[in-house]
Amino acid sequence: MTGGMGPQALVPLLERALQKGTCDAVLLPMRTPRNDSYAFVLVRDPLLLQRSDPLPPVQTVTGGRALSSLTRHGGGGLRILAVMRPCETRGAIELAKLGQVDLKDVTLITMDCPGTVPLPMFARGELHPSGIDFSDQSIRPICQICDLSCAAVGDLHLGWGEGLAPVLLPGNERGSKVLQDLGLKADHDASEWSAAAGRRAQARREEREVRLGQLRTSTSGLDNLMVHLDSCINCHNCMRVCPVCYCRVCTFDLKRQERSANEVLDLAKTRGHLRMPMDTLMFHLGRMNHMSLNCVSCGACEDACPAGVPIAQVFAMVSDRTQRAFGYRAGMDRKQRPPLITFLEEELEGEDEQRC
Amino acid sequence: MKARVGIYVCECGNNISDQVDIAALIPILEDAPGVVKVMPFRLLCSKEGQDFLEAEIRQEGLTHLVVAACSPRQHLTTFMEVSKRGGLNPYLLQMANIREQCAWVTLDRKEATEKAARMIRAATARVVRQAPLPEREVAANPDLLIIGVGISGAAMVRTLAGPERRLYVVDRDVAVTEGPLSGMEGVELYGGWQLEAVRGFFGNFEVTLSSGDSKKEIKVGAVAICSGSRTMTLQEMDYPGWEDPGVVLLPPDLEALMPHLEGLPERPKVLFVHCAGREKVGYCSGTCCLRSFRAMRWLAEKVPAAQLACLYQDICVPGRKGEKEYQGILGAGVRMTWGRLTGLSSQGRRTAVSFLREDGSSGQETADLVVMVPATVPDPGAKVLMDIIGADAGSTGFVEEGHPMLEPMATSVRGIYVAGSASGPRNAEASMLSASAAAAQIDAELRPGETLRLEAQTSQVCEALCTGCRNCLNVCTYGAIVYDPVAQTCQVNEAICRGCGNCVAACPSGAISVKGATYQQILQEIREAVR
Repeated sequence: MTGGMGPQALVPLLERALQKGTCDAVLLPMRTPRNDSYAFVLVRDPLLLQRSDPLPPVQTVTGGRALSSLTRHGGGGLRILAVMRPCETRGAIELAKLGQVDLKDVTLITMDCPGTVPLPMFARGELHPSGIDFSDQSIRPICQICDLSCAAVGDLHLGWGEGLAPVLLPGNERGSKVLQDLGLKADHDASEWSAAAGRRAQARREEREVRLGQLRTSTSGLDNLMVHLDSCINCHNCMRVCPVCYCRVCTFDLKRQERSANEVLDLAKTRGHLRMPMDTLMFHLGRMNHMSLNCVSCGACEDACPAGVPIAQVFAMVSDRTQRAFGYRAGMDRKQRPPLITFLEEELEGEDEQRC
Repeated sequence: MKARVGIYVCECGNNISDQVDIAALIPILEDAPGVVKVMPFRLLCSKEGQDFLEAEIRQEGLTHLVVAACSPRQHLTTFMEVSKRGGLNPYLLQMANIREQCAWVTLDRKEATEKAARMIRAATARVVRQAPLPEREVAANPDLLIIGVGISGAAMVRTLAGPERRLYVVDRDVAVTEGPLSGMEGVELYGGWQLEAVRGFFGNFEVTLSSGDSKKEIKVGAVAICSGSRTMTLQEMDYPGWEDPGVVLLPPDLEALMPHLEGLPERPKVLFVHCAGREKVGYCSGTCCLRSFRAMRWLAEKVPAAQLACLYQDICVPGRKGEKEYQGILGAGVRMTWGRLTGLSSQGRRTAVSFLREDGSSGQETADLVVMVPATVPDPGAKVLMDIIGADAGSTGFVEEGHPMLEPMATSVRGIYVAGSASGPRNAEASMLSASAAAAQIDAELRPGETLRLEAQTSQVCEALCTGCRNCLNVCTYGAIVYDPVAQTCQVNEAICRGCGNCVAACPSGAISVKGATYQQILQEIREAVR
């Protein structure tokens, strides 16, 4: 590995890939024209890469969504190098399994992610770092409990960190091929990095258990769960930004989901009281039901919530268990089919308690 | 138009009225939205009941009809016909099963009545959201493609051949062209040809046949798979020591055994080993015991000096003639030994057969000739056929029936039938029987000159909601869904769809619904049932 210490080291490599024709285009986060935010941009001109920042301090639109708009249903046959965080990459992999991203011509490049700051604070200028390091305490709560922040899920993964020599690791043949095309060798001695990544993951895993355990206690039962959703304003932003929520129109936005006023009155009569509008809990439970098996804990939902609902953490709490029940971890194994679209005659029999 | 729903509650003799308080139901039902009439009747499926219903539809000007009676499996079609006679679209009828699901499942009259009320109100909430569906018909080609001319294929040709329909008969064996079926009226024989592609649907299939580089396109209304089965080889059974020259398979033609008996001692010991390969295939072929006993009888006559013995695990000789055959060989002194074959080996000029006894101890017998009675396995072509046709092959590799009891001659694809041992081990008699049954079913369902009624309650894709993920394609058993790359959405071919609803369940975006069972209908039905 040559060049600088951090993810910026990827930039000359990407330039070379464009110049040598290893790929037709690069998809990666870039600073926006006013230099105050970041967006995914598809770049074909190597000169433009100067504005890029492979690992911005904030997550705006997630990489999976960006990739979906480029490759959905086959795309245009462009060979793309896509640079994104492990969670975004896992989102893209889930979308590929769901037929919404085509990875045929895409090489995914990931890197160790130290986390991002909350988007609302960043947007208001309350927290506006130009970069994040691994000791940063200002990262989002969902990042603080992310045990897959250094998961080498890309075809090519960059391991880095303070006091660490950066390593470039191919995850499969495609990654090796890119390295070879660029005249680079894989870093064979990654032991230092893998030890560091293992330590980071272990610390995060422990933190995750503790925090989600507390959340589980405080959200136990529908009434307590509702307390956490109290401020929800039914804007459905969490669904709109979710990388794995890909329906064209959400079931919960459909007319058919609405009850007539007569029905609502009827229910109010039976129950004595009704909270209006009625579908807050239904929406979140429904979305959990639909998406928790694909959730990659990217935190986009929580960033998008104008009411400060810790929705990403609630989802992490639920999806950890639902995914464990099916022996699935969203976005990790490209070959494993998502449980919701896999039919097995016998599954989950007898031992529900132990599994989740 | 404002809904005018009529609810008719059948007493079913005393079957329903004994457990359900019908008088108590009436005010609860009259209260439901859109209901203009609630009436009990002694027996709605009777002639009087049907005439009464028909008259009621007209007199009351009903827009929707709810019949609270038995299972729709029993009388849905009856009451759909009644609706039609009364001038009401038959899909504006909903049945509530208050017999099997209420009266017959509890002794508590109060509970049965309460549940009946909920179910009838739920049915009402559902039916008022139902739109009339057109009854669709399509012209059908009565011609038939028969794949394979074994016992069942030939039987089918003989049953169905005639001036009314053309029969295309395909077999990979060239010789069939000159066989006994040649020259029959309306029969075209294609020996040495095979199936390459099948497109279309029941009544209108387009088939490509191929033979080397030649191709031929034919059009048929239905396809009958008569591709048969074969017996397992020694190599496939793979018992240790199977290559021993003293081990042979029981041949279809018994005369073929004779050369193996040459050069054997004067009183040769011949051991028949039953259930050869059974554990490997995982089923009892059910036909081999009898075949083996007949072979023993034949051998006893041919070589009276032979000492016959049999190693068996179960004796399976069902039917009227099996037991007689079994007693016959016992009477003839065949020595029967229970044992599970574990291996074979040479012992001088003889062959040693090792086996496990019932108590787990091991035993051995030696014989001059070991005749293995092999399990029946699917023809390797069956899997290829199933892939081309898109029908289900079961875990055993045999063609899976549409339903073992209700549609034993059909497959998972409508218009593709199966007969003979293509769907499982069968002897000649059973193959003949199944060929006759399949021929009768084809003749009944595909009448020359008649149209086919298509399923009205098909599924439909809402293009605005479909994300084109194609999950539905994987679960459609009938091949009724296609992905349109231009629209980037999936679409249902309504001529093929049978309204099973698999795709509805598989669609993550809620973009698919079945006519007559829309989300709104089911939602309202459930809300009414649990309110």
